[in-house]
Amino acid sequence: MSLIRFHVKQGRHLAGARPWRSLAWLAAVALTGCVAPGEGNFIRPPTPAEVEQYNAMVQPEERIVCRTEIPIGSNIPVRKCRLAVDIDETSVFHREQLRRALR
Amino acid sequence: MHHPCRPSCLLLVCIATASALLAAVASAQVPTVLSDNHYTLSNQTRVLESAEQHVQAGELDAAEIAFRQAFESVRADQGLFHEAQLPVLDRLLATNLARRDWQQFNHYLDYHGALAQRMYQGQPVRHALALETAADWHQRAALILNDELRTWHLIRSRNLIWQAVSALEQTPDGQPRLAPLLYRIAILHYYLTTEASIRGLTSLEVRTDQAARVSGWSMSGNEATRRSYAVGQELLQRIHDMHASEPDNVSTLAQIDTLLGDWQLLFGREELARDYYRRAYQALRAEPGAAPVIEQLFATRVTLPAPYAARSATTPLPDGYAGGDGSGDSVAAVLASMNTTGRQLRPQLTDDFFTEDHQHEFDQVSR
Repeated sequence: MSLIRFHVKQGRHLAGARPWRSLAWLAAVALTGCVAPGEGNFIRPPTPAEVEQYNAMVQPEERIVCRTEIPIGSNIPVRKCRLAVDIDETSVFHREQLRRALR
Repeated sequence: MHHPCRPSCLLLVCIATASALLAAVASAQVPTVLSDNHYTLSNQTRVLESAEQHVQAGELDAAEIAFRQAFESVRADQGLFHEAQLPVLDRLLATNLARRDWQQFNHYLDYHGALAQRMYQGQPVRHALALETAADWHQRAALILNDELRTWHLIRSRNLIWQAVSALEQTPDGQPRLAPLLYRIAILHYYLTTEASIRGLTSLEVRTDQAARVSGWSMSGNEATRRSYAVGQELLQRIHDMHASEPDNVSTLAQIDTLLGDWQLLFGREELARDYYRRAYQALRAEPGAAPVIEQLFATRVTLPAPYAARSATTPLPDGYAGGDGSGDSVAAVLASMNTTGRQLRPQLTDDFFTEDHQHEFDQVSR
């Protein structure tokens, strides 16, 4: 974002002096805005090999599992990564809830 | 009233206790006469020689005792964190592997890991070599064992190689050694899906480092196979990218394309395999002097998975790091004996598989 702001400032400064340059700057800004990942934007989920490498380096409590899931209300699969411990805890919790509801 | 605790009784009890104590102290003070003091430096070689003789004679229990004595001697003599322990530790591992004493075997492997981590702090390349050695031992154990324990050893081996990769990634010296290791991980995935069942054993990967499964969520067999294919494909592609920036890399890239083709074939994707093979073949045909490589890749019978043969032409191993050959050939040879179910062969130039025309598929791969 700050990079884009810098580009916009430069564009304004140069706009009066040389219009062709300002056009070039604007084009550059537009292109950068389209291409640059920026801060806080989309972060690529880890690939299967990256997950495995990470898991090999940490203790079992910190290991993660990444799977492709289809969230409720959508047909678009999403790759989700969770701690294996969390998966277990959620599973136990849901099982208990179900048991309580069926009682 | 008669008191049960008379002075004479008390005296008797005191005398009995005192005599028992004296006997215990006396026995503790009498020096145990060792038949052989293996802690002296001069005796180390003799103990080792006798251990080797026991191995030759097939007396594995006696050999294990002798190697253990030598190991203790080296530790006492050279220090607890000295490299001199490693050769004796290797012999101990070999002996316990032959004895099928898995508790001792795993104990010494754990010791090997802790020792390597301590000794090679700040030396990533040497640490990676030690991790590779430990991974080799796990693979040897996997050859002997079955079912769950085989799977556990293969997973441990894979984790150790990943740790070696992570160590090598820290330094430019380690880059040339990365490709064979990445290929080893891919091959381990293949063996985990074909020779050892990972079905229901995901807990060995993510929940514990111990050789006992933990109940709970687990990946299905199909999901594990898909994951293994994806990891192998990604790693082989990474090897391809690593070599892509080198000059005069046509034959190296063709060899990796061939390995990519092999990978498709191993996972039943014949069309894609054909495209990779064709890409490799066409690249080699266009390269003058590449006939021997074509011969090596496609004119001889190659059992899959093939050993890693591609070498970096411009990035030789740094001096002093020649401990392991880094080729993965020995490992492939070790693992190849595990390949008990339907052996697959790479198609040869004469096979219809290779000569059929599927140019559109080739274009897809190129993109």
